[in-house]
Amino acid sequence: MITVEQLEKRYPDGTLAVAGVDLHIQQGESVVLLGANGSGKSTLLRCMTRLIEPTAGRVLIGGSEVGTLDEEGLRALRRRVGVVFQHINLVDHISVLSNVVQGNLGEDGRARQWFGWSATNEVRERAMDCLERVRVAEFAGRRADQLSGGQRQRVALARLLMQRPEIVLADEPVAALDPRAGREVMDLLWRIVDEDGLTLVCTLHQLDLARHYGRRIVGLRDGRVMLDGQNAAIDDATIAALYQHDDQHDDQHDDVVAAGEVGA
Amino acid sequence: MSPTLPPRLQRPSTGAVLAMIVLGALAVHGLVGTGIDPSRLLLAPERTFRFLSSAFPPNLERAPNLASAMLETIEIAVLGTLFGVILSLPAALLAAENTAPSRLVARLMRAALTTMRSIPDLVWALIFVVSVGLGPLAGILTMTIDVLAFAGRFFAERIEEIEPGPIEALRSTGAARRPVIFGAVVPTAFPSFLGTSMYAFEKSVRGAVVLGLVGAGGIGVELNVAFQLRRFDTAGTIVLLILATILVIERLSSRVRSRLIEG
Repeated sequence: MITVEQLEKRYPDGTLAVAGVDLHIQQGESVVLLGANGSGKSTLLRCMTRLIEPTAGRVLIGGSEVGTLDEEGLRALRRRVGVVFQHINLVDHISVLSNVVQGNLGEDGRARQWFGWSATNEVRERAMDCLERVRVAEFAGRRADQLSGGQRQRVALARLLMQRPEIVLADEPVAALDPRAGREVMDLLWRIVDEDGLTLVCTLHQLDLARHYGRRIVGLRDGRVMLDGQNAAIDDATIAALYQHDDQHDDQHDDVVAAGEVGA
Repeated sequence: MSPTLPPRLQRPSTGAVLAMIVLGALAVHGLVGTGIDPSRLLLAPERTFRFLSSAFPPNLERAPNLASAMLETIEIAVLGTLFGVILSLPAALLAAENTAPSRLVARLMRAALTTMRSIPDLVWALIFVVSVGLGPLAGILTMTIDVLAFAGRFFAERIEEIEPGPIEALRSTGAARRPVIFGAVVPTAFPSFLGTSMYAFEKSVRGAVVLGLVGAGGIGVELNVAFQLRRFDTAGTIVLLILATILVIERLSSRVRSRLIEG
């Protein structure tokens, strides 16, 4: 489903965030990308759909080579890949329903579908179903910035459901949440992925979460794959090595969202 | 090396010295070379007193005309602000680096806005009086340009400050440029747009008052005529009317703006 070959990302300041990663992920597989802050996992995730442009290597998703797609092709690919963000990234000043409706923008970008109040009945009702599925439907009419962090991340999951993706890329989905809300969001995300048979790549930096939710764990350090195997088969010492001499050299890029621009 | 005590004074840079010389020369030339007669200042208090005493009591003879001229001024400001703000939105989207189709477009749009801003109101008014004739239409066009230059720049700056997260989120769903701009960028910047627009309205009421001096409609026409006919009682009335109107509008507008900030 996803094949990454010799992927490399060097930022303009010279930092090598991803240093030649090879990865193969089967359809329906759930993979945890584990690594300390600055290990390159967020950059790797964003390079998969070119939210950040990689500087070398190839990514194949469902048979198409991501690097060679034109703008139209890239948008078609992104429609099939839902992304969950550490910083949640809802549009704060509009309603919860509008935020969910916007999950559909890739499929239908006509003006009336931009917001919840103007969208077609079919889209509004489907958005409501998505909110119900993550159990925040009662907030549909509220402004997105009036919700708690956990509720906001659930709304983001509803937006993801609205998109009807085949693949989910989750970037530290619970790093900004308190532990209890974080567990709830992780449970929901894993349930959605299981029920809908989605392929999941989820970056995490917390070892306990990775151990609890991970089936296959891929460990990254300094932009390289250091371990790759089934959760049960990996011993604690191997995993602990991921966190040794925490090299901070690309810390500043871990949260970088090279997305100030609107174009594809 | 032991630290040395810094000197009390430092030699100013050559540029600063040159600037002082040029400014000093201009000041001296202005005082001497333009033939200003200081004795006129001595006469000023008496003349001003004569103006003020003939300005009171206010002359309400022309009250209906003044009221309709003031209304025209406010309408010029309202329409100019409306058109200016409507044009500011696309202008700002083209001028902001993160929403412009290309760097070049952003730079050209910025240059256009800077040009509009660099030419003063009254000069624009003179130009529009030539192109559309005397009257309020020239005033409305002037205020449109004035508001566009001001709000266009502020809108663009706000757009550039928007956090990139929500934009990235919508891009990641495969949304095209336009839905991303109208779905995420515009709603986020909207409260700030409204506040800027209210401020632009206040500014344009003040601006519209003097447009009449060059024949672009409104209360300024009456003011100009009153001074030229030396009808100081009418002129004083107009000045008071302007003062009252501007104070009321500023009060109302700042109340609306503080609501917007809270909401």
